[in-house]
Amino acid sequence: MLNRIIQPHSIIITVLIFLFIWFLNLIRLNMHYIDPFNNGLKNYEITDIVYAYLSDSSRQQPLRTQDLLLVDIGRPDRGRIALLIDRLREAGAAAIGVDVLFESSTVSPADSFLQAVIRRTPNLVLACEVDQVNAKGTRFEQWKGVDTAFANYSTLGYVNFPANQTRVIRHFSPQEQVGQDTLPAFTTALLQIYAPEKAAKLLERNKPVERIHYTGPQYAFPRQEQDRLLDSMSLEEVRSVVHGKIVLLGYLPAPYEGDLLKDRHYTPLNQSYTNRAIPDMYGLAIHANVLNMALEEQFIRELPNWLNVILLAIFGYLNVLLIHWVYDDFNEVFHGITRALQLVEFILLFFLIALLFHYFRIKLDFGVGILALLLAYDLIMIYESLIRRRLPWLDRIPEAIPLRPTPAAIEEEE
Amino acid sequence: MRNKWLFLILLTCGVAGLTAQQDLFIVLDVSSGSGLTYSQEGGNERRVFAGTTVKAPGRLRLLQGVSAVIVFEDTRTTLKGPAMYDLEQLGADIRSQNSSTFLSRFWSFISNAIKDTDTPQQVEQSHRRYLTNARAGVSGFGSSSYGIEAPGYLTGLLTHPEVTFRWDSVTHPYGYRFELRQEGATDPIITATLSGQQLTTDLRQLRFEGKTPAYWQVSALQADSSWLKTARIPVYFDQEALQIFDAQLEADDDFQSLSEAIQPIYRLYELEEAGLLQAAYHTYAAQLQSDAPSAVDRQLFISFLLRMNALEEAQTLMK
Repeated sequence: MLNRIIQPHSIIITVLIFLFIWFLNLIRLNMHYIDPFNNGLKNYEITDIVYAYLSDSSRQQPLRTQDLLLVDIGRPDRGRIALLIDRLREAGAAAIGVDVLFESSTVSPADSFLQAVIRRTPNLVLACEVDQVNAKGTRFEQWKGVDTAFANYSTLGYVNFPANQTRVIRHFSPQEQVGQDTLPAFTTALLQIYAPEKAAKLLERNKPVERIHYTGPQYAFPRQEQDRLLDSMSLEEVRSVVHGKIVLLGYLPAPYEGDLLKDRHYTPLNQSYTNRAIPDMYGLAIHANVLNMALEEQFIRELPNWLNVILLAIFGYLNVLLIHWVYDDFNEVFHGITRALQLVEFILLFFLIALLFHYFRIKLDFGVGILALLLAYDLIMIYESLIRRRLPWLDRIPEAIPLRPTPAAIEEEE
Repeated sequence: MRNKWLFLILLTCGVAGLTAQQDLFIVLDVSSGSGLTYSQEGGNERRVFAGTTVKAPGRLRLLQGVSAVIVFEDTRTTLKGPAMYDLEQLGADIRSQNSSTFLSRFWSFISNAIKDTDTPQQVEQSHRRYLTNARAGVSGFGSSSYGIEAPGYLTGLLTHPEVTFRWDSVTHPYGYRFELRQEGATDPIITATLSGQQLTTDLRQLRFEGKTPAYWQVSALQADSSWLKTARIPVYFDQEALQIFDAQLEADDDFQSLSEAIQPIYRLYELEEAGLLQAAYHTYAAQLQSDAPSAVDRQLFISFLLRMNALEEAQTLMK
């Protein structure tokens, strides 16, 4: 059995495949300007399909709907925001996150009132931005986006994500070094107020960036409107919806209303996963997803590199072994069988990756494996019909490793 | 034997308790502030809002034109009014809905990816399948939060003590109720029932407690007993703010470098920038009341009023 599995020529072909992939990777040139298709695909991962198509759209995975409330503030008027924060504090919100940048301040009464409200709301987190990364890329020089008139009296959390306006937001960074201090992300700062033990668990993972596990689309969390909370509802009614919760204030207009480009970003939930045209999620809902992930402790599990390499090597070798066997034993129909095999295997592999991600949040990085699967056919052809013929000494290598014969086999031979 | 019975009773109670705990409905979103109510058998009806959790047994009632999204056992459901929902029945209905399996969704995706190549011919041949995918149009603001609009220049810092609070007229009101109140105060500073759409008062005569911000709001009772309202509009009275502003402006080199003809226009721009909207309004109005108001002054005032959402006033001026 073992000599069927350990075949020197298949090992050589597998090594050649991975060398070829490594070589391709080495000489990769930046030619995206003539290759828009590939450029679109670079922003895509197989698991995006799980989010966009394979999740049950009517059902939602366990969501902290009872812990979170998202409030659309519409046009961010400082006077009204101050009134709202004060009302939420009175109504017993456990933590209040304001996803609005108060960049400058004046001596206007609205700003004075906002400052006074911030001072008397200890469980408030204000949004800021990290700025000016140092030359080594290890820390930031400063934070910005919020005036010291407000920042001095509140906890700050940065709202930056490691992506850009045209890239999918997949990660978030739980905390960053800013100057000599450590600054938490907006969501980490809220967790530190609402559930310090969950924040500690998040930071104990000690990951510079954490993959975001998106559990709900942007309207999967309870959503309120500033005007309703301020003008239509009594304090008792406000208390009934905010007491003991994390309340996030920001831009989250009702479906089909508001600006579709303002504070909207690309996420893996975008159904147009290859040529993402319109951003699909408001920033506030991304924060809510991060909070949900941390509260539920539903982090995405990634395999360690060494295990990934071993799995890739085994996968690549088994494929070569299989296709090589087809080449040797069914040479006339080799082409048809191999292509069918590749197609079936590709679908099965996709199914496996999707299944593992959907149910266990295990993310397999199998791009190289799929490439190895595609290259196996061609490399076997090249090896058998070109390399072996040109290098006769390769024929001296046995087809299978001769193992020590069993006593029964010796007896039979005699 | 008795212990066994006790154990069985406790077990039954526990299971019943757990089952009852599961019958929770969380309201995710409601299209209207007062269109969704909840009541229990023999109890009063109360309004419920997004973020509220309600329990079965009970009833949810939605008014005409109201829709709500609720979550029950991790399943999102949209309810549309006018309708009354018995929560026990609704829970049973949601439970009985067959949820698609992962395998079926996977197969559907793979088979669609193979079949559905979206060629122009395909769109032409089965165009009805595609008609619901795209729409060219925007949603109107059918259910505006506020039925009554107020001009923007009556928001924020007020520097002129004599203020005429104005608001847009509504159809068939049973009078308007005006209220000026400091935040957190139990009694309003002014409350009045009016038949017109404005109220003039002298802020110097009013008693404000400390520097707590105040807000004003107008409500109008409608024939169907509903209320139309303005937003709660924050105001702060500071007579000296305009003098400080003018002193700073006089000291500004940029302002000094301008010609005398341009300085008033620049001042108006700066007033708006500084949020002194009421002062800007009075300056525009004063320009029009001068001996020889120019067409440009009139046009500038109309533009200002339009920016301030004072459409009725702008319309009067245009006539």
